Amino acid sequence: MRAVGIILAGGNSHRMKELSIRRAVCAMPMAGSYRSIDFTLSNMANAHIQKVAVLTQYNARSLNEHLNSSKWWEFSRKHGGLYVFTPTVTVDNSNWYRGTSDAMYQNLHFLKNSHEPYVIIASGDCIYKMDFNRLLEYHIEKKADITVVCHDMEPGADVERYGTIRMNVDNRIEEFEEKPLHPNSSTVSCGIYVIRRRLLIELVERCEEEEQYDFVRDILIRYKDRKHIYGYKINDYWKNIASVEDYYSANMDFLKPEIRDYFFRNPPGIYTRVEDLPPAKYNAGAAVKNSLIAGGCIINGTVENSVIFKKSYVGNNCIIKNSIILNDVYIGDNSRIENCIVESRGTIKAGAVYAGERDINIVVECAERYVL
Amino acid sequence: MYKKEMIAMLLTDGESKDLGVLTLGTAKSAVSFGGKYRIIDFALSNCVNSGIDTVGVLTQHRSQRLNTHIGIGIPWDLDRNAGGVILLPPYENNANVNYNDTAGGTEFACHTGTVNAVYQNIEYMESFEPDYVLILSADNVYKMDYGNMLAKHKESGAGISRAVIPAHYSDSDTDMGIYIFNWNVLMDFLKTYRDDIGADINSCIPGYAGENNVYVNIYEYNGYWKNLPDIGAYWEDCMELTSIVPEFNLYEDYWKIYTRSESQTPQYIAETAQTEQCIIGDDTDICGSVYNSVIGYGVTIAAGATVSNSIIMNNTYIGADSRIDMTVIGEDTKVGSNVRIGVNDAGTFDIQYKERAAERTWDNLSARITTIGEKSVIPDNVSIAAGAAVSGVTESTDYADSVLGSGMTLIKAGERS
Repeated sequence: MRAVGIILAGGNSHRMKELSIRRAVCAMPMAGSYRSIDFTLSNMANAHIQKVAVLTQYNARSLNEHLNSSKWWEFSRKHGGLYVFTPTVTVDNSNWYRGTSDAMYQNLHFLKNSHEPYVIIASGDCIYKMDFNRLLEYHIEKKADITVVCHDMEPGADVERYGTIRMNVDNRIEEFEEKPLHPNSSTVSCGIYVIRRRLLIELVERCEEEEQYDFVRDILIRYKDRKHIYGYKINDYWKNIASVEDYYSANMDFLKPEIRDYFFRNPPGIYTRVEDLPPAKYNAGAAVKNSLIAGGCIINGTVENSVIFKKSYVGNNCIIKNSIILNDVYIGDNSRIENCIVESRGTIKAGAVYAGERDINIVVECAERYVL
Repeated sequence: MYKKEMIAMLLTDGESKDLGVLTLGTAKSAVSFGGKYRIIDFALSNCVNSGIDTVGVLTQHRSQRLNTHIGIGIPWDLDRNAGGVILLPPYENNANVNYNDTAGGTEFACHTGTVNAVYQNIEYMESFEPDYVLILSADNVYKMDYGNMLAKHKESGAGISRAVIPAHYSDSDTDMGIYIFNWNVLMDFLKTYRDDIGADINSCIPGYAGENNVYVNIYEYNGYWKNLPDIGAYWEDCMELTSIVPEFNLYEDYWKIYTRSESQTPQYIAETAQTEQCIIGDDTDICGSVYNSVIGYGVTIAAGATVSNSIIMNNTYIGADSRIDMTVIGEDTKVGSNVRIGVNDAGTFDIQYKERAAERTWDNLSARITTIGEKSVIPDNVSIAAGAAVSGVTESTDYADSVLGSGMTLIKAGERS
């Protein structure tokens, strides 16, 4: 592969509500036993990108734990590898990353010391499967300066939190609006870009001189007419999870067999950290319907239309419906949980009732748990 | 090489036929156990958890699955710069005096017994200059800290230690196949018995100790230990894991058992499914009913199928409307639709299936259990009676009147489709 990878994983989103307290969006658990960043990391690994930098800033503890070894994604090779860059204080810099462009500027040595001619920049909070080799071929074929991956949202979908794009017949981007109040396109940027490495270094350095720090606003939008910026449509599944509603629906999508087959059964695969959990266990009284159950779970009650993440315990006579139970949650006997997202490592006392009405309820319960 | 205080030599029995058709093409140590593990994982994980980072695995026949499973030892953190896990197959060497004399030609230096097997790997062991060598069987299921055994070994001043299950659990002490030797004692021991065809470490120890005045320390172990001598025992010990509080706990973080996981994908339990009293591995798709069973990873159970009191190993497919009871099915097997396996009386099946067969007492459990070997194919609409065994790609013409009778064995060798 003739590109290095950069994953922008610093972000936080107020749209994640209480879920963002614990971790960066990229580290959000997904589909029972994965985390959001696994999808981008696996896409990069599957494209044989050998050198990947993850730029983190906001609450990266969970993310760092997850990236405790690069071997899960087969990046533990002599050539290249997986690098995690958090902001550091140096002689001539004492700032946090002031934006995505600044984040790359502060790690310019990574780009300067690479020899690959291209860079693929991607965010870590999207669920998709993509062949980056084909993307790069397209970029070269179009003689583009920058290629932006984009996706057609369903008509009427709320695109307020995205960047919207309008392209001409040749796919050259004519209009790029960031978080528009009155969007006039339902094509959104996926936050995945291809650019020549030397051009990226040049643009990022120039931005820094002009005290501008954002890759989208200060590079893509600003250079839209000056540079050849093309769009590349991703027509398969793509979803950004940086809001509670989208996070919930993305997880629920994995209850559909075609989505599971697309991501997990059809090669290339999606990889994640291996935890050596025992098989899931179903005791007498368990009644599970249309649900995903991850390894290490023990189920005693009723679970319907839900996703239960790793190492969770569901007590006797519990009723869990239309809910997402994150890692290592203990749910005491006779509890009822409907339309909820239960935050990881929570302890739900016996007999508790949590039911979201129209919105998804986020349950954060940190009651003391007695560990036998 | 770096000096290691103690290294481990794991003996795998490539010729074991303990598990019938399940061990037809695979060493017993590589057979699945408990949904996602293989039997060798327990000994390997015990080594790692005991702080032993240098393990030689002695393989012989039918070792392909074992080789793929162990690889360079990544799942056990045994991919080390110095030491780590290494597979030690037999090799031809002038120093190996014991040749298997087959049809007039000396072809291959197979191990003739456990003593000879270890003897053939003296060079490997020497390179770590160990003070002690732990020799153990890879065919048992248990959790044990070999560090404690070593501490007792040192304390006692013995030349050899052997671990036993003390007599109050059975008629006499049961040898666990776990030995610690002082390096010098081991060298002398191996040289004494290397030429004895079929010499077994366990049976040679008493004589050797008596003649050479070597003290043998008996290390008593009172925990869970299973040696799976036949298919009945294998079934019972697997089934025990599905009880509400199993004697052997896989759910504690302490003393984890590691294995190679091909996939981390969660399991999907469909609208049409029922799952009770069972353990189920990752990446499975359950659309039928599963009671009192152990299901490996990557298994698909189609809608309308009922699996009870059975063990279904990795990547096996169970077709629609099939009924499976009291059966062990090997890996990568395809069972067609509307098949009956191990169901004695179709009429009483519905009443029996939820009953925990594991809690019954059996006169001859091994004869009751139906076994299907790995990579087999069972065609649609056939019935395989209790206690029968099938291996290979079978077609409906292999079953007279679509039935394989009780206790019958059907083995189709040759090309696999």
